Amino acid sequence: MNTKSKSSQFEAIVNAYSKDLYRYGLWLTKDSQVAEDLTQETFLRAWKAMDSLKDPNAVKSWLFTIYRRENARRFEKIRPDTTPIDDINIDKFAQLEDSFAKTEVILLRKSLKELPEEYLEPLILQVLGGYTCEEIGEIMGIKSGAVMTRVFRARKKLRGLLEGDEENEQSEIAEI
Amino acid sequence: MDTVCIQVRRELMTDPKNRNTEVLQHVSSCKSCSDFMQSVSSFDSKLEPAMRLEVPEGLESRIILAQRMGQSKKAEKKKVYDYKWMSIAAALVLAIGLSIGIFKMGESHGIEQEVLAHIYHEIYLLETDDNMSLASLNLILKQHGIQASDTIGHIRHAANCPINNKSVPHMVLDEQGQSITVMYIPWENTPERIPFYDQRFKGVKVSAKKGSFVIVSEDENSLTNVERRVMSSFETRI
Repeated sequence: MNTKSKSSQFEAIVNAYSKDLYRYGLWLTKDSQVAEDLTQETFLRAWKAMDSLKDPNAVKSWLFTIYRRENARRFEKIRPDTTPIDDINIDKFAQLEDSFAKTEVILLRKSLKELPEEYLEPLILQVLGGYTCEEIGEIMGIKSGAVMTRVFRARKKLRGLLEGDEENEQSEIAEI
Repeated sequence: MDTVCIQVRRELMTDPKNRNTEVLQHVSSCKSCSDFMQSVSSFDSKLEPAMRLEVPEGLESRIILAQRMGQSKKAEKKKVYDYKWMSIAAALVLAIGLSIGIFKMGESHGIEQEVLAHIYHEIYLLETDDNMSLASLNLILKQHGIQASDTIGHIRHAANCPINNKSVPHMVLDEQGQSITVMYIPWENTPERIPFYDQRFKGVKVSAKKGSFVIVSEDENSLTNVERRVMSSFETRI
């Protein structure tokens, strides 16, 4: 691949996937600067390894896998003094005009923030990334059965948090 | 609720988009599970917009710029090793380039790239207007041995910022509603006026009595006007 076509392919990949990668990172890290740094690092690593990518259809999964690895590397450098911050703006959205929809989004974001990371991550990969449980298992390095359990529990917990006041619905979920 | 209903609902909650035939068959004959499937679908349709958090403006441009900067650093390293070959090649390319006049403007490199990276890093400053006074600006500039006169015009923002791990004055000036970035780099000597650009910005590096100014704008005309203002406003103390 010559440099020019590699560059334009790289730009197309950045335009297609950087936003979702950043969002995935922001949900995981809760820190916008860390999420952006990881997004940038992921793409720089992707650029360096682009020649070795055999299947263009696998780009997206490949990027999420790199991102995940880069995020994990952060914890190799232990920084005990860092104070956890929360940059997730639950009430900031560009495309919603309807105030009822906005209220729902705010409530959902609050609940998503309360989800344990092991439930949140596969759910984000499924809903935002559009991956199947098998693909999520490959990205996260766990069995698809474990993914199924986690996304099921994530939805159950979320609905429980959101619909706690609707007793019938909640009992319906509680039975599953 | 029987065991089949529980199993179907578990599958629906695990992956609402992947419905197998058994699930669909059961749902078609079970009103309660059909309602449940509706509520799971409705819930998931709300989940996606909730997960779509705001993305900072210019994210893609910053990633592409970082990749290009990485490339240019790599090229610089290589240049050290292949100096002789590069000198010969550069002389050849320069001769050809000059003969066909392609070196009027070049892609950014060196300090210009550092400035562009900093602008992308603080891109929100282009939307900021602190309407700073000349006195406030001169307080910042004093530390760097320069002073501005009132011909500098409307100052939207000024602060000390790190470039190459050194603190330099970072100014944002207003030019007919446009934000123009001006940075003073005391250690950068520029023998001639050097224009540069990237996908979004156009810039110019111009010589001061000591050091250089790097001026960056999204618009060519504003860039020229501010360059004129900068050259007439600044006095440097050598």
